[in-house]
Amino acid sequence: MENRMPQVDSAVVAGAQQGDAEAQTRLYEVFAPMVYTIARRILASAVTAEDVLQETFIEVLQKAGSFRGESEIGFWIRRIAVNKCLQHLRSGWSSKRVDADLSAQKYPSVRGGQIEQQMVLENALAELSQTARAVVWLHDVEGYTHKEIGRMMGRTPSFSKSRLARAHERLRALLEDDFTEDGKIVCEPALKTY
Amino acid sequence: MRTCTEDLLTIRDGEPVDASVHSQVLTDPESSEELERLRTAQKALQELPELQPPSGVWTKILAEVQRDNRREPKLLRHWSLGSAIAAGVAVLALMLISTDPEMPMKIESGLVAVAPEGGGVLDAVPAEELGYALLVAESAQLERELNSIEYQPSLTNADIATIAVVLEDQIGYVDAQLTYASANRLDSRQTEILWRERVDLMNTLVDVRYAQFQQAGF
Repeated sequence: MENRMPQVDSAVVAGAQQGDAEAQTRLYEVFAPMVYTIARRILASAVTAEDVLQETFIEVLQKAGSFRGESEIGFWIRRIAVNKCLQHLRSGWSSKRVDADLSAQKYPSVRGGQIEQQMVLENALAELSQTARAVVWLHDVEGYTHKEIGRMMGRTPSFSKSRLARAHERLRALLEDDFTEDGKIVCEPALKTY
Repeated sequence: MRTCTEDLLTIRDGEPVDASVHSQVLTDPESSEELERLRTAQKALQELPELQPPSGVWTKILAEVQRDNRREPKLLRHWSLGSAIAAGVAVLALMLISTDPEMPMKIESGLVAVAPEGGGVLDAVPAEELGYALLVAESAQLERELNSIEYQPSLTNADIATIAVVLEDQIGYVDAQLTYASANRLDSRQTEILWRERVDLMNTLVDVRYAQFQQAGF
């Protein structure tokens, strides 16, 4: 698993566990961007991502005392955040909200540099189904194994594998002709509405 | 024939794969190209920038945690279907009477949070913003509660479904007013009234949804 995890001093963790307000604030400052990013990318909704951010840190504050330090606290926080995201995906209310949000969130069609390339990719990611998006993000970026993803989703590792493959086929179709030989996305996304 | 995407991903991720599949990828240019594309796609995903959360969320979280510590169990959540319908109708009737943000709402929800007495983290929030912050936190909590209820649209009866839809419309109407609060030059008192209205509507909607949920036999 790739370790892109932000780090905090063990004193901050201990302080947060004892309810020290300054330490809790520091914990939020360090890990909130990670949690919010995961939620935005999985849920493709700014509103729901903010909900996940709040829910995650409420749980972190309330359960910090039960964190036993067997792994880095960042992994513990990330696991809470991912579980919250998956709870939202399972909720019908969430899917209604995601649909509404996505239409308002579309990036304009753009050409050129790295930021534009990333927007193209973000748009393509948002076009995937909720489950496919979650599997892609959890596996390809967060580094969860198919076994872990299957367990978190109440499915089998094969389910995660096949969803990942289909998601990449879909991404390929969405980004058709946008990748050059050196792996850059070069042209306007031919995003299709399905 | 090109190797299937699932096998290519297995190779990309360095997991064990059948030797024949491996050799096919090495000899078939199309498969090799696709494998490279999958690597590129993963790298591009990993390089997407981290996103910064909106400001003010931490204050809401602190307010929520403090409020949770003080709140008693929500026994009201075990309403019957009839009670939920009655409450929904009553709230809607009052909402229709009171559409002017200048007019204070007459509904007193027992679930609306009160300012903590003993100080604490909310001391950081200016006194004039405390009521507002608590209402926003209450509203967010209700959103979460709503999200935690399984959605079973095919199992609801028409009357209660209609009430739920009207409540959602009313919430949307309040949200629209809140969105344009600055443009419409609403002052903090008027904004707070709108938030209180939203909390009351959300409270009723949560009760209606719980009643639907219970009616559906879950």
